Amino acid sequence: MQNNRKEHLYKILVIGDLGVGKTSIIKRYVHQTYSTNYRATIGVDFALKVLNWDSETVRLQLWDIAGQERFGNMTRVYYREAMGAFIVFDVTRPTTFEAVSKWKEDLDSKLTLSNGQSIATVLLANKCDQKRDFLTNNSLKMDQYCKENGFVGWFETSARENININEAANFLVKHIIASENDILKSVVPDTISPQLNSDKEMTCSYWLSLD
Amino acid sequence: MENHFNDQSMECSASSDSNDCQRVDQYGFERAEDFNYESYEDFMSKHLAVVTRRSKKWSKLLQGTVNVEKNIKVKRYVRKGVPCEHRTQIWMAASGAQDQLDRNPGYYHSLLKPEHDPKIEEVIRADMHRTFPDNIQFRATSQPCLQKALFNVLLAYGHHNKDVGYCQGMNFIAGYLLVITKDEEKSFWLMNALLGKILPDYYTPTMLGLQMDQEVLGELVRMKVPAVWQVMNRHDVMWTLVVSRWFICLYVDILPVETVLRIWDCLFYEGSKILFRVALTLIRHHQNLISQAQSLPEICECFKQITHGEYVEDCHTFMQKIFMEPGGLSTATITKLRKMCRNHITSA
Repeated sequence: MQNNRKEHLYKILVIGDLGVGKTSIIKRYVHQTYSTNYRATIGVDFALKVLNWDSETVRLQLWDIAGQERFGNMTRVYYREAMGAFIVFDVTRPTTFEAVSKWKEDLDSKLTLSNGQSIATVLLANKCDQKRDFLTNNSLKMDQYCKENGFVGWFETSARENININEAANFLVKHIIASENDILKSVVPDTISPQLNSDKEMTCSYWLSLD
Repeated sequence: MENHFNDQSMECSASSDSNDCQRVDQYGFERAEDFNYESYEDFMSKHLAVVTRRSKKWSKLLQGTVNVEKNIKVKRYVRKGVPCEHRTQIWMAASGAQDQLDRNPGYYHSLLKPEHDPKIEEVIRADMHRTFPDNIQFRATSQPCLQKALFNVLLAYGHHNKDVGYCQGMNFIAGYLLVITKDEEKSFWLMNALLGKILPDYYTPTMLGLQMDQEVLGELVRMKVPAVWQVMNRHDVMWTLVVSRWFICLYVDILPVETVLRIWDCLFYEGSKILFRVALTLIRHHQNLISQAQSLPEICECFKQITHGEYVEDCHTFMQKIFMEPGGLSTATITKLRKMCRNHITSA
């Protein structure tokens, strides 16, 4: 391990309706595991992941926030100082997609960066390994949706099958770094198709978690 | 009504006969992979003797009746633990749930009539496979499966108390009640006693009672364990981050099963003050560990760590500690602090 590497600490929120798979996504990303035995998250939980990002170290603090609306009164206080967010819905339950715009508005109203921009937010269409009956099979529409609602991009994910989880995380980190460097200011944000391959191969990653 | 309980399947007994049985505890919970069987054996040899002794004393006390008076003797008995075979009736009698059941025959079943609020039904359903996946009685594949009973109790309660509806956390509470009582209707009325009478408004949409009690705990820690209060302040850690689950789940899934049941004995008999005693004891006993934490993540880790290990596994010693370690904790103090904190929150 080199010393005096540049270190970044980013707080990332994972929000969305209850039962969409927020905890599963985090466990997959941090522990590389999946289980059908996760309990409903009460309140908030969080996990840490450390990435070697080029020559720098990126420490991610992933905040797993309970999805039930009434927890919002308490969990909103966790929004502060977040640099990025995943908003998750379940492709098999249309109501969870309908709630996405509500989550996004809530996030934007509670939290902005110092330059007044909203934080980088990626939309995750989770459980894509299961039978889906709406919407996400039309990726043009989804691109349009993201543009209109201020998402930097969207991914079809499956925590169970490990589809696109790392890709989505790398994509979000890239946008966080970009917004931190104020690069985004001069660039018109574009939406990225879900099959995007990460152009940033991680040389090595290790993790630690608080569980 | 379909009977979701099989009396033979889960005998309420403290004995653990075969090795195979030991992978699952008497309530149906699978033991963790790192379960320490050696220290468990040590504990059990002492535990069984205590349980047998308590059991005899309780049988004598009750002598066929279920009149659970509020007096010093019964209070002492409750604090030393209600034997498993008497638990349902003691909880029912002490909390007033039995009274309610007797006065409202058929009411529970009337709530299960076909027309339901689809929104409540959807959220409850989303938590079915996420309630005690490590308990063999709650597996979708098990026969009988408690998921259906759990669904019924939660759905009935959601329609009975529309101000609350369904709040996550209630699934764990109803689950425990079903494991102990093996009876949907009794679980429903016990749930009603907890949410309607014993606890402040933890589960309403504003969760005001929960916010209040978290602040009350903060105040108590400031008075009784200042070192921890300071470290929480220094790192700007809100109490809700580390203790909300303790209150919402009434220590279910946080402390060991047997310890939780002992806490609930007191909860049903004495009221919600016991929740503060438990929290303060955990925090005070581990104050050195917590105050050495260097960051918010480390503090969170500490608060998870202190709910595990021998200190909380030995329910008999732990229950003695909670009445000694935090020192005096009068009902008047709690009432005063609750009033103060509630005002503080609602005026913010």
